Amino acid sequence: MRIEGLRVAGETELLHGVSLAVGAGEAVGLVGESGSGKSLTLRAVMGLLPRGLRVTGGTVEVDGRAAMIFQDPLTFLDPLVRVGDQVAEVCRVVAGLSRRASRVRALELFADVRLDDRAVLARRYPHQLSGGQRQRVLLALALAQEPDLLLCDEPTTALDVTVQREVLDLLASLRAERGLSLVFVSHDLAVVAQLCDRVVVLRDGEVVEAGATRDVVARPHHPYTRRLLDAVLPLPALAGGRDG
Amino acid sequence: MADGLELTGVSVAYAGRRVVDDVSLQVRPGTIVGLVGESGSGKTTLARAVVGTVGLAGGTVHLDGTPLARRRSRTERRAVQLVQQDPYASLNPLLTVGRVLDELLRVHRLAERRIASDTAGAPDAGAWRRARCAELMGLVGLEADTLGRYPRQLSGGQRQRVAIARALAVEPRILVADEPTSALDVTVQRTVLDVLVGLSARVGLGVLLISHDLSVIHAACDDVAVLREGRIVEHAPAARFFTHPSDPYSRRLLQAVPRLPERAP
Ligand SMILES: Nc1ncnc2c1ncn2[C@@H]1O[C@H](COP(=O)(O)OP(=O)(O)O)[C@@H](O)[C@H]1O
Ligand SMILES: Nc1ncnc2c1ncn2[C@@H]1O[C@H](COP(=O)(O)OP(=O)(O)O)[C@@H](O)[C@H]1O
Ligand SMILES: [Mg+2]
Ligand SMILES: [Mg+2]
Repeated sequence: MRIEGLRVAGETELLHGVSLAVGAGEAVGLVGESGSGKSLTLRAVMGLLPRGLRVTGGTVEVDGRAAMIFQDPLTFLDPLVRVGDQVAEVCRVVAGLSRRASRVRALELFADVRLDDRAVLARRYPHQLSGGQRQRVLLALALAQEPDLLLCDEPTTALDVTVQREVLDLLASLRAERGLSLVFVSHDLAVVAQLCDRVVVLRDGEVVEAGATRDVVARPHHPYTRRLLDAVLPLPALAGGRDG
Repeated sequence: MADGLELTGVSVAYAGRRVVDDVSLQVRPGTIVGLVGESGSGKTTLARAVVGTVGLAGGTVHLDGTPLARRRSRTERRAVQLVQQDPYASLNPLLTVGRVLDELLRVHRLAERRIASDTAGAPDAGAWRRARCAELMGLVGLEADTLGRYPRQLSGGQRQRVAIARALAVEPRILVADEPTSALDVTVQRTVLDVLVGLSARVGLGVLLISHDLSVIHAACDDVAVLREGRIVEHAPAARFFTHPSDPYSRRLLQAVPRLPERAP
């Protein structure tokens, strides 16, 4: 995917020429405080801008198909339809599968996103699932669209830290298994650093810094990036290490 | 029994289901105790038990050695104050910050009490309240002109500091802060935490800081208690907890926290 000089405006201009490129199989982080324009950037790529906003300049090119997941799955899932049926429906439309084949495919996708007790879960309604389960269902819905590029808008922000870790690990392995490209949006640089090789820093609708995550974290150039880094509250190293 | 807040074997049940189970912990004046746990572990319920908005299925809550009953006197309610996650929901949108604080001081007759106990030449109550409002803004690191503002004119971090000032207005011994930074951008979390740390040191407030976020707990707390499914699984000094947790669940929580790669010094 390549975004070049993207401008989005409503009554005033909100994105002032955002550029961002994602190579095949690459994971790029998009960070910035709330209101910096992260969601609008992803929505513009999907053609899902809120009413009253439009693209006023620049270009967006996507090789292949893009799908998106959101912070709050409940606003996206249909509360009145069993989650298995929602995923099956997308399989029918996108892959042209029969009713029966699409049900089987939905269960396969539930396996891909590491949902346990799949047959039982598939019959539940969204409100009957935990936050982590809902996010996995949303991910299965996205995968049902057979995307080459997955746009992730703060998908772990509302989750508990252990569940967040599982979802981040899941995204990393889906990327490795399927060669998916990822754009991962977060206000938290520490979360982005878990997953992304490159990071783009957005402030007030403008890119202020971009580069390899390792370099940006070690040697931030822009004062705003430094502020974001300073905001990450540090924890001392755990004796015995990560997996000890 | 010692000074401060002391919970002994506290349990709370909703419709017969125990969501807080046999919890004991102490918050001494001038210290911050962190209570960490995943969502649904019972943190908010425990906070409500401490401030007396939910009844106990067992156990006791003592303040400075005196047991607190479910029905609390006004003085007892003043002594233990709660700050919640969403300050917007708890601030009246139609009143300025100054008006809210002034009203509180008036209702609790705090000026009159102070002036009565003050032997030096007493100012009038209105002047005392105005001075106290300005002092409260200073305590939470806000400009005095914030008193003239309405909640919608404030940022999230400013609103949360106003909520803390409001709790402080009634001169509590203990402040229970339930996820006070969870609705805030990471860049303003620290200012709110710094306010809590400063208050515990300067006015000897005891703080029970509740959060699902271990870095928030680490930034502010002297002691840490880990709540899992309503039970405390570990309770340790912060200095030991973050490097040498003794409980496997605590360890799993700490391992899951995203950390930045090394930064250049
Ligand atoms: N529907 C809308 N109408 C007008 N302004 C909007 C709309 N949606 C978002 N904005 C504004 O665009 C800016 C960027 O918003 P957004 O992309 O949602 O930020 P982020 O995701 O980084 O928090 C903000 O200032 C926001 O107020
Ligand atoms: N008013 C209530 N009635 C019934 N169950 C409740 C009520 N409030 C909370 N619960 C349940 O009690 C448990 C603990 O909730 P809570 O104290 O809010 O946890 P936390 O603050 O750690 O997320 C949860 O299972 C929750 O669903
Ligand atoms: Mg957003
Ligand atoms: Mg809670």
